[in-house]
Amino acid sequence: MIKVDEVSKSFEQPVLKNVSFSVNDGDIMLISGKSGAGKTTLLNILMGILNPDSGNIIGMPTKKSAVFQEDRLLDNMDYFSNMHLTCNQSDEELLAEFKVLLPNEDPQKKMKEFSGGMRRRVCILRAMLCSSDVLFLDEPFKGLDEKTKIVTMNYVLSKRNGRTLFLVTHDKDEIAAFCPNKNYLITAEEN
Amino acid sequence: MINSIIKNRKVKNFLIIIFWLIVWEIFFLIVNEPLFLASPLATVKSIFALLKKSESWKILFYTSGKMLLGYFAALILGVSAAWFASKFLFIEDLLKPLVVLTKSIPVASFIVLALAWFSSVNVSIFICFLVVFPTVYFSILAAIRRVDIKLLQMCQVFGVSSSKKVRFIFMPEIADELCEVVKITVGMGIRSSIAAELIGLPNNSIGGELYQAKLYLAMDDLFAWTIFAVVLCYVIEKVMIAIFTKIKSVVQKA
Repeated sequence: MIKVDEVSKSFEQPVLKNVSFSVNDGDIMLISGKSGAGKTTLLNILMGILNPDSGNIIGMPTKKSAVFQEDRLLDNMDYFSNMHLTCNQSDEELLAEFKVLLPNEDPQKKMKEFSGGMRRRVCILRAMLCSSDVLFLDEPFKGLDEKTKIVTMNYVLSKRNGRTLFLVTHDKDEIAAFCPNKNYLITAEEN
Repeated sequence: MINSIIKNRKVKNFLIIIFWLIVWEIFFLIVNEPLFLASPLATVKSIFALLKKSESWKILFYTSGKMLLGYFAALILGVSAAWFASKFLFIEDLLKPLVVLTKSIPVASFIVLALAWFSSVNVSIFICFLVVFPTVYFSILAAIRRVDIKLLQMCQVFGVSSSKKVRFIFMPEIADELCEVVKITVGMGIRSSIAAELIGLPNNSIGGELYQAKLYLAMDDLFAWTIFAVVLCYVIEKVMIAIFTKIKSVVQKA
């Protein structure tokens, strides 16, 4: 179980105030709320990129993978190099997965030659194929058309393999797909 | 038609060279004194005459070999120092006065000082190192600092090993920067090495030959050796860039 205990964070103004919750292993935790409410800050604290001003996070697994709000890809390298940075799969395995989400694309093209939606899918492949115990997805389907979004959401659900998932989203379709009963929704509006 | 010929890069470069050769010839005709200015024709004759002598090849080999020794030492130590300075602020602070001083002290002072320390044979190695090292150090340090912090954060989240970070993130940045550094520093290295040779006068050196040419007012030889130095600079620069580009692609595909 991951336990977030009284976590606070301020930049110039308070962003998170005494946030507490716990997540059982393998659960999906949805983080939603209006812009500027601190969703990404909370995710960055959970991922260990930011330190909280106060409070603790207990039980966070060390093996993590993520889709960030920005793509954070190696622009001058191809899909394989980007994947080899974080994953240990062979080129054949990586190619097979690539063809699921980007069937008509060339994996040897540099990332800077990919469109925004294509890059997003590579980010999702990177997060899902990396060996990890917890996934952090920050608006992962941003910029995808409806049809591609459905295919990609199904891919994420099929590749989650029982890993704990923190998902930041505003999208009703995504909320419905990942948390149909809204059991695990944190509304970060009020902090 | 003329426009299409000029658009061809090779033809354009050839025409530019012809233009400057004509300008040179015109100046020669105006000066009309081979003791002050050699003609393009006399220079070409001198180049071919020198190329026929095995002694000239030996001189080119020694000068470029010593320059490359100093140059590679500056590259290796410059990149290493920049790497450690990027990791430990106190190393950057410690090196800063030394590197800034090295950058601003006149090369001639170093040459005279080096002649007191080493035999004249090795002075050009040391001088090339001193001239190139600060530029390599500062450029590579800036390149390492330019690496996107967000990529490093991504690596932190995914638990990427240090060796993979070096290979996929730092090495390409450093290799790109080295290609740019080579464009600036090869010329600096050759010029300073030859200047050191000109003052130290070791045997089998372009600097020594330039001094001889000046002594005997052999302007055609002086121009010929100068052109050798320019060609040497061009060849070394192209080879170095090819090496770093290859290293970059091999590292990424390995």
